[in-house]
Amino acid sequence: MLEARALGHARQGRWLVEGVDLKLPAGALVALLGPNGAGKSTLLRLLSGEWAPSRGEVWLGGKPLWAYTPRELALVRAFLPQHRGVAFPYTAQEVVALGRLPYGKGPREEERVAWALAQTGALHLAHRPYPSLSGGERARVDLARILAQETPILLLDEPTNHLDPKQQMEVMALCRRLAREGRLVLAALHDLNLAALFADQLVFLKGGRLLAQGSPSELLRPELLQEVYEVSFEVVRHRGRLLAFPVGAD
Amino acid sequence: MRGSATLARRPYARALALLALLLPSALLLAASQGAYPIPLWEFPQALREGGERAAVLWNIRFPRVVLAALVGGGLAMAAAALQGVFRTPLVEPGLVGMGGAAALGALLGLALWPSLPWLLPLFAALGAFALAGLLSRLAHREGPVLLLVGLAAGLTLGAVLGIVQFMVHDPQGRSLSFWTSGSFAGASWEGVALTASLLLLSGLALLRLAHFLNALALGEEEAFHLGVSVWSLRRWVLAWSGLAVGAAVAAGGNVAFVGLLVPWCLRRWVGSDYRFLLPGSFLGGAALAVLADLLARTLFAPAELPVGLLTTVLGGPLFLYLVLWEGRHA
Repeated sequence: MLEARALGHARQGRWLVEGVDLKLPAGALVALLGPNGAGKSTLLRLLSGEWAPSRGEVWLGGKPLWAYTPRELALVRAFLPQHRGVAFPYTAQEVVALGRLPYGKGPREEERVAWALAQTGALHLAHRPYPSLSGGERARVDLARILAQETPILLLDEPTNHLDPKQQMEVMALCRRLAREGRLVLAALHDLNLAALFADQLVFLKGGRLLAQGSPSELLRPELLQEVYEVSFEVVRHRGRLLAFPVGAD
Repeated sequence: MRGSATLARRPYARALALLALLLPSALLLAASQGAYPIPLWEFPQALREGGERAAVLWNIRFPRVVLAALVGGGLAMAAAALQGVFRTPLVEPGLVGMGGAAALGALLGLALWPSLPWLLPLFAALGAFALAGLLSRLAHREGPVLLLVGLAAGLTLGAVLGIVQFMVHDPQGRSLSFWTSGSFAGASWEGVALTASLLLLSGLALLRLAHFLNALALGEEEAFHLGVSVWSLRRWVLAWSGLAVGAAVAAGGNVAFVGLLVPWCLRRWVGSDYRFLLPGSFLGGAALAVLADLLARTLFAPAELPVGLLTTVLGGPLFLYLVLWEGRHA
């Protein structure tokens, strides 16, 4: 569905992402993992079309990304950035309604906005001014805006930031549900175990390069994790689930 | 689940209706007052009779109050749009130097083609647009940088304006204070028609971009992800608001702070949706300018205050408040 071909991006002479070949199928929740500065955000921005690659191409639905207009892109992929803010006191509901922008004024707008807010458990925040919301509340409203866009592809940069454990589980379960409906959900995450618990595939990045792509049971191996994060890991099986935890640098 | 039942709309329509009532009331009130008061209820009779009172109303009062409304409305509407591009409520055409640039453009037009007064607003628009384009290159910087550059540009342009003013012969004999503080004295129906048509054009164009301006409030990247061609949107908003500023300044000078006060109040008490904010700012700015002009010419009658002084008395403290408190969240 979404495919990176020899993708590279350089800023000020430094390669943030280099030589990445990646095929992402529809109907999967894919977790993008790696240490800070591995190029996760850069890769997401390249895959979203926001940044033009310095090398290689991104293909989507039989066309390279550069052949899409911004509006065409907005109808096929939604992007949740890591750092978010709204300049003026819009209500949460108005912020989410912006997700309907690519569709123009449709009769279903309010219905879809309410649906999206309900999906992230933010319906009760609808009338609150966005600037008055807490970090966790904002995160859910922002995610609802992405959902309101109703795209087959969702690119999420740390969607679980600012969320407590229960909300993290809820958001990940929602992502998995969206993937089951046939969408591609690609989420940059920091929590290995959360990723392993919900994701169909893991993608490990390090130093801008793709290190591994595969299922959690294939990739949750101490050697690989140590290579990615430069810290020793132990992986244990607990009630049929793989749990990985760092045990210290050596 | 019937989700839509749980969502409510903000009172945008009600606020617009209220503002649409406020403006004609302000216009009628202002038309009746002055050095020669004509009570409202005597308007029909005065106009039927003709003579001196009809002449005062038709030739002096009506064009003046309508021009005041157009200038105030145009400045407030343009300010709201510019705030969307720069993503801060602190931007106002006068404050960031666009007003000065527009005035300079108008003076240039006067110097080059003194016999073509309808060129003035277009030259003023070019000046405003040029400065806005310059500032938009800085829009990625923090708010204070933008404001400081705008302020410095405004001060410099003000000084240049003062010098150029001496060299250009203005057939209407407008003084420096006209350009810097604004005045609606000497308004004519020709001026009203020209200003109204230019403002109508830019207002309609901006209104078509209103929903995209909403997206821009999320940030340029997010707006792009929502399908907005950000670069082109910015350019068009700057161009159309430049035209509004040019038309307003060429007709009535720089009425300060209207563009800061009105959108801020509307955002605060009604909401930020640009589909409401642009027409709402026009109506609110129009009413404010009409009332400010009314005070300016009646407080110390027969002497006239520059109308910009009164709006500054209101707007200055608000600006201070915004910078000190609300600016932190902007």
